[in-house]
Amino acid sequence: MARSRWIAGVLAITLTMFGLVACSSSPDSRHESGGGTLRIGFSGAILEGVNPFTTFSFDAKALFTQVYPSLVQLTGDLKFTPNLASKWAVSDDGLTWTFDLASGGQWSDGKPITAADAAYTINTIRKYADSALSGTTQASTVAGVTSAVAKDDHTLVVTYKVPSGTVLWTLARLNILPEHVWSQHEGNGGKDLTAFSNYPTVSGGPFVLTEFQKGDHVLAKRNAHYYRDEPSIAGFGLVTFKNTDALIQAAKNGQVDLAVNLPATAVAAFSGAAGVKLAEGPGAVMDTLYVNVNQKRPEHRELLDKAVREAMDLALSRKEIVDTVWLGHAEAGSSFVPPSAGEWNDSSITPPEQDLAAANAKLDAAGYPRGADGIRSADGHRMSYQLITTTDNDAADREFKTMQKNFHDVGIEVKQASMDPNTASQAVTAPDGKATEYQLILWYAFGAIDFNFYSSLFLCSGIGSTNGDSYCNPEYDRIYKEANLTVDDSQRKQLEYQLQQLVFRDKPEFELDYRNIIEARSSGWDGFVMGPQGSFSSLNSTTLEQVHQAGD
Amino acid sequence: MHPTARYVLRRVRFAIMTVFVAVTVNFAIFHLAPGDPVSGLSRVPGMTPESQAALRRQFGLDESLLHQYVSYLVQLVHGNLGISFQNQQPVSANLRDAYLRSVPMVFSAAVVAILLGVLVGVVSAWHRGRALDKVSVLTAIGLYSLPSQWLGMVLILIFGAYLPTRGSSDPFLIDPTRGEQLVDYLRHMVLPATTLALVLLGQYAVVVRSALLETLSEDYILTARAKGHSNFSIMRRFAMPNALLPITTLVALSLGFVVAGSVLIETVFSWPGVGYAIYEAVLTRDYPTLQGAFLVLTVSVVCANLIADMLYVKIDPRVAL
Repeated sequence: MARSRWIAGVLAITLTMFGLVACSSSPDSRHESGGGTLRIGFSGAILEGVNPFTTFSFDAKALFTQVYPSLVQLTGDLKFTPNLASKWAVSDDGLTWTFDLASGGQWSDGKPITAADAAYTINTIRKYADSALSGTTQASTVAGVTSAVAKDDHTLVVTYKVPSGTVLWTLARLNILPEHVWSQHEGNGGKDLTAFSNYPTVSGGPFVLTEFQKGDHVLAKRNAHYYRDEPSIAGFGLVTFKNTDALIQAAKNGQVDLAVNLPATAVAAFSGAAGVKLAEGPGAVMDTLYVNVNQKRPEHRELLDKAVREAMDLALSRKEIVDTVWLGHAEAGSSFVPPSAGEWNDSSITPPEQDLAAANAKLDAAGYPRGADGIRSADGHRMSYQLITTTDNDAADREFKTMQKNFHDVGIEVKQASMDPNTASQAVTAPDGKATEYQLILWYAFGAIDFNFYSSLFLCSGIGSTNGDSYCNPEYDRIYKEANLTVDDSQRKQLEYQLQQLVFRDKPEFELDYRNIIEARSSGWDGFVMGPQGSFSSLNSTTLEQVHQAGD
Repeated sequence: MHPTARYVLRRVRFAIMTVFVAVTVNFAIFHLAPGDPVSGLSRVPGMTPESQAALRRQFGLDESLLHQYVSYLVQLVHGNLGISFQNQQPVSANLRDAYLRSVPMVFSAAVVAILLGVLVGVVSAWHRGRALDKVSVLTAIGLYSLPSQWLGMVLILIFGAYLPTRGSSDPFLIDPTRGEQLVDYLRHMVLPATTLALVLLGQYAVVVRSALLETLSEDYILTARAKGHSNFSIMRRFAMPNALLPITTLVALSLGFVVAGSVLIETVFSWPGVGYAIYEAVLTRDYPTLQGAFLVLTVSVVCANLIADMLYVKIDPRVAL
C-alpha cells in the first residue's frame, strides 16, 4: 500500500509541476536601455563554431562579418564600401595595394586594432595556406599575395605576384584576427590554428561576441570602441530554428524581432499577423538544373548534343515554376549571376520563354524520333534520365513535377532520385571523381555571395570536384583567366558578361529561378537594409549598424 | 559455480561482445554510406579542388578503410572519441554538452510516460472489455502510432503563443536569477517533453495491459479471488509482480532512449541535445561524432539491459536456472 501511495504521489507531483511550469509566465526578455537587443531567428542556421578557419556555414560567415573587422565590405548590389580600410589605392602596375585604415578601433580585450593585425592575418594564412590551413575557405583569400606589411599602425601594403582583378573580392571575405591572440596558437606546424576553439572570443567588429552555444545561439554586444560610427542597438542575438514553422510561430508571437530565411509559403502564414511586417526583395539563391555534359560519359551521349539541351531549355516553363512552386515570390532565371548582383549581371541575357513547338521541332530535326509511348529515342535507347533532387530543398518535389511535365511534352522522360545533399554531391562526381555517371541534378545555391567563385565552377580543372556539370570550354577558361587579371572594373565587367553569355549559349545548365528573399520584422524596429542575402548578411554589417527601435 | 554467478558472468560476457560488434558496425555503416564530409562542401565559396583534397587528408579519409578502422580502435582504447569534422573540437566535449541538455528533457518525459502508462495499463486491464478499457486502448494505440514530429508540430501550433517553441533556454533574459533560469528551462522543456511523453505513454500502457491480462487469467489469480482477496489486493500482490518482467524490459530499453535523446523531437523543437547533434552529424557526415554518439548509446543500452537481466534474477529467480 505504501509503495502505491508513493507512486501516486510522484505522479501527482510530476504532473502538477508540469502544469505549474506550463502556466507560469516567462521571465522578461531583454530589451534593455541603450538601443535594445535585436533578436534574430534563423531558419536552418548551423552555428557550428566561432573559429573562422574551421567553419563553412553561411550563418557562421555572416556572424564573423558582424564581429570581426574586414578591410572592405560589399553592398547588396556588390559594390565595395569601406570598413576597416577607409580608402585604398592600387599602384600603376596593379601589383601593390595600399590601404589606409580607420583609427580608434579596439578589440574586445581593449587592445588596439592596427594594420599589424591585418598584416599578421594575411601573412599567417599565406604561411599555412599549403599546409595546416589548406582545407579552409580562408586559404583562397590570399591567393597571389607575396607580402603584407604594416607600414605604420594605419597603413597596410599588400603586394601581389601578378595584377589581379579579384583583390578586393577576396579580401572582402577575409576576417581580420587579433595578432596577440592567434599568434599564441600557431604551434604544431599551424595545426593549432584549427584546433583552437576561439571561445571565449576576442573580437572587434561593430559588435563583440559575448556568448556562443554550438548549434543554438550567439549573443553579441555593441563594440564601444568600433572604428566607425557605433551601431544604434545595444546588441543582437541569433537563435537557430531547425523548424521553419516554429520560426514563423515565434515571429508571430513576438519571440523574435527578425525572422530570416523564410520560405515563400510563409507569406500567407503572416497574413493579418499583428506587429509583424513582411519584407521581400530580389534574392541571391537560385535554382539550377544541371546537365552532365562530360565528354567522357559512356551513356546517354545525346546529352552532349547542344540541340537536345536547347530543346530542353525551350521546354521548361520558368513562369510555371515561379507561379506554382514559388507562389510568385521568385523571378525566372537566365544568367548564372542573378540580377541581385547589380551591374555584374548581364541583363541582356533574358529568360527563355517556353516554346514546346520549337523544342519538338529541334529534336525532330536533330534525329530523335518518338517511340510508341511518346518518349523519344537516341541511338536506340529511350531518352529517359534520372534527375537527382536534394532533400534540403523543400520545393524540390514541386519543381521536379513541373519539369517532368515540361520534358514529357517534348518526348523526354525524367525520373526523380531524391538524395541528401552529401550523397548527391558524391553522385555528381561518381565514379571516383570521373563525373561520368549522373545525368541531371537540381541544385540550389547562393549565387551572389561571391560571383567570382561561381564563375570558377565552370572551369575545366574543376571537373570531378567543383564543376557541377562537367562543362569544359577552353574559351571560357581563357576569358576567366583574363577577367581575373583585369584590375579595371568596367573592362572586367565586359569579360564577366562574356562568361555568362558563353554558359547561356552552351547550356550545360538551366537557371530556373532566383528566389526572393523573405523575412519577417517586428514593427517595433526600423532601419533594416535589405540585400540579396536579407538583413543578416555575410556581405556587410550594414543592417545591424543601422537598425534601431521604432521611434528612436 | 553458483547458477546466479554463472548467469551474471554469461550476461556480462555477452554485453562486452555486443559493444565490440556495435563499435565495428557503427564504423562500417557510416563509412560505407554514400557521401563524405568533404563532398558536401564543393559549393561553399572559397573552397577549391585543392582545399577539398587537403581536408580529406586532414580527416584521414585518404587512407584505406582498414587503416581508418584500426586508427579508430586505437583511439578508443586510449579513451579518445576523436575530433569532430564539423567544428574540429573533441567529440567528447561536444557530446558531453549535448548529453547534458538531452538527458533531463528525455528523462522527465520517460518518467511521466512510465508512470502514466502503467496507470493507464492497470486501469485498462482492471476494466477489461468495458468502455473505459476500450477508450484507454484506443487512446494508447492512437498516441503510439502518432509520428512524433507531427505531434510536436501540432503542439507548437496550439501552444506556441504561450510556451517557448525552440531551444532549451531563452538567451535574451536579462541577468536572470537561478530561480528564473530554472523556470525558463522548465518552460522550454514542457512542449518537447510532453510530445515525447505522449508518444512513449501509448506503448507503456499497451504493454502493461497486455502483461496484466495474461497474469490475470492465471489459476493462482482465481485461487486468490476464491480466498476472498479484494480486487486491489489481487492486482497489487499477485498480478503486478508477475507482470513485471516485460515492463522491466521496456523500462530498460527506455533508458537507451534517454541517452539517445530523440532525433525528431529535438529537431522539431531545435533542442540542442544529442538527437539534434546526431541529425547534424548525419547531414555533414561527421563520422567521429556519429561513432561517438552511437558508442555511448550502445554502452548505455547494453548496461541498462544488463541491469534488467540482473533484476530478472531478483524478480523471477527461475531465469538464472
